[in-house]
Amino acid sequence: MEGASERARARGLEAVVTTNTIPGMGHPNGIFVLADGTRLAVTEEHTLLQIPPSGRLATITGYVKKDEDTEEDRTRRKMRLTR
Amino acid sequence: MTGGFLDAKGTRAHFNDPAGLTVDRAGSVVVVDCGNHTICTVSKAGAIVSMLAGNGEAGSADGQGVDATLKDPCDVVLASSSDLLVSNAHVIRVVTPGGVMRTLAGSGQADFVNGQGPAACFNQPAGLALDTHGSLLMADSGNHAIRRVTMAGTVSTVAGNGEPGFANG
Repeated sequence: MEGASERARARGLEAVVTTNTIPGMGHPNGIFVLADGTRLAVTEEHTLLQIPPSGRLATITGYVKKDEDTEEDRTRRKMRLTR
Repeated sequence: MTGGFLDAKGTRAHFNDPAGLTVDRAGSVVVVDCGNHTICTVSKAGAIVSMLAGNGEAGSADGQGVDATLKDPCDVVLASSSDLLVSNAHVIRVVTPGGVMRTLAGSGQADFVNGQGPAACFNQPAGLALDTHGSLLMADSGNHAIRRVTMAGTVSTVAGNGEPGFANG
């Protein structure tokens, strides 16, 4: 039997989700969008990243050990938003 | 990954589980450094990281700069007054541009109570946003609710009743 929660869920599925392919993104915890469209993100890898509309990612601050980064972070289909 | 606690320039600076961010009126990026229990600023030019509030020790003390303490801060937004609003362990803190921190609302105890200032209770406040009236909207994650906090510290509930679920209404 379909409950109230299932009916509500079905009506709510209207959003369109797209993915930005950003190699090296890691696991973002928070994001802020500047007026020019540049996105700033902080990550579980302890970094502050800048992603301009062009998509070219740069690390502003923070330190990450390159050899401990995982391939999974860098692969589009496996990239996940996690806490 | 390597976390740490070091004010410095660029990739020599260390964060520990940064959780939220915003940009202040001067264009500096404000980062909630959750694992270090601090609020940091990253300068617009040169990416110099410096401490705005907190000292690395978990706590709930109000005060100036490193005399103030936070515990697992989660998110930050910039109010129209140029103050920063920070979700912290069961409270909402205010940080002035000069780094003076005070508690706006919340008793510090996990509970679900509307009210004025310290009479109100939250349970793990998380994501923050401002509404069109300049009030703070907060995801009260432990209470499964959206709460509103005015700049005068009056707390009300926008949605949710404290119980988990998935129903519109």
